[in-house]
Amino acid sequence: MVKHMTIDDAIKVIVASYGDIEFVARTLPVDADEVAKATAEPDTAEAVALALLKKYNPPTIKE
Amino acid sequence: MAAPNRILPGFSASMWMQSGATPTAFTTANLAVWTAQVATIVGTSANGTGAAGVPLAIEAVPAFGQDDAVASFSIAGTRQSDKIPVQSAPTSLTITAAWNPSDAGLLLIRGDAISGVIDRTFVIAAVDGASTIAYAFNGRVGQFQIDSAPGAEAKCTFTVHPRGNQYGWSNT
Repeated sequence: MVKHMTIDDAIKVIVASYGDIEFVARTLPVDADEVAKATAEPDTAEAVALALLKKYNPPTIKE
Repeated sequence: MAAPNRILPGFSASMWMQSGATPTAFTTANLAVWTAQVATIVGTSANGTGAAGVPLAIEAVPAFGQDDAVASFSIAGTRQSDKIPVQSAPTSLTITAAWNPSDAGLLLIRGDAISGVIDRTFVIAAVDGASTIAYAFNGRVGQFQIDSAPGAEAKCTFTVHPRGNQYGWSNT
């Protein structure tokens, strides 16, 4: 079982990065359902980070 | 990386950069944020605030983007070879400007070229009326030459090498 990091912590990692944030966002272990519920102020670095997390962690479909 | 959500029918392009002698370059995510970030580098003539930036009076904004890098494979006797795209670097921007030894922007560029290790945030702004689309990137200056040939006005040529993956689009 993968231990997820919080969305806030994941966003902080992406916002502070000088590297390829697409790659960083792709590798952070976050819960897709939490990502789907998260919101951020538009036109902020946090919104950029959250959009990338949503791109690489689409919500899971439960049966 | 979000693409700009504006379409400009026509535009004028200008180039801006952080004004500090030893600036703290933007993090990658902030390169895609206009409000309070990229806007502080872009001057009011391009709809920014310009509190932390200076214009670069350059002849023309050069092409920017990604270089082409391929690995070529061929087999003797076959008609066509194969080119596979491989990791390629961002395009370096070689820029010419009229040399003015009291221009703040050009002096910063010269200082960066002498140092070689200063990361600075640059912005290329495309403006049409009240709308601006900004391409921001971090880069280092790798070359600075002054050509003071007597037959023409003195000019300087410098090259900005963007850092890999450190770019972002934003707009008003």
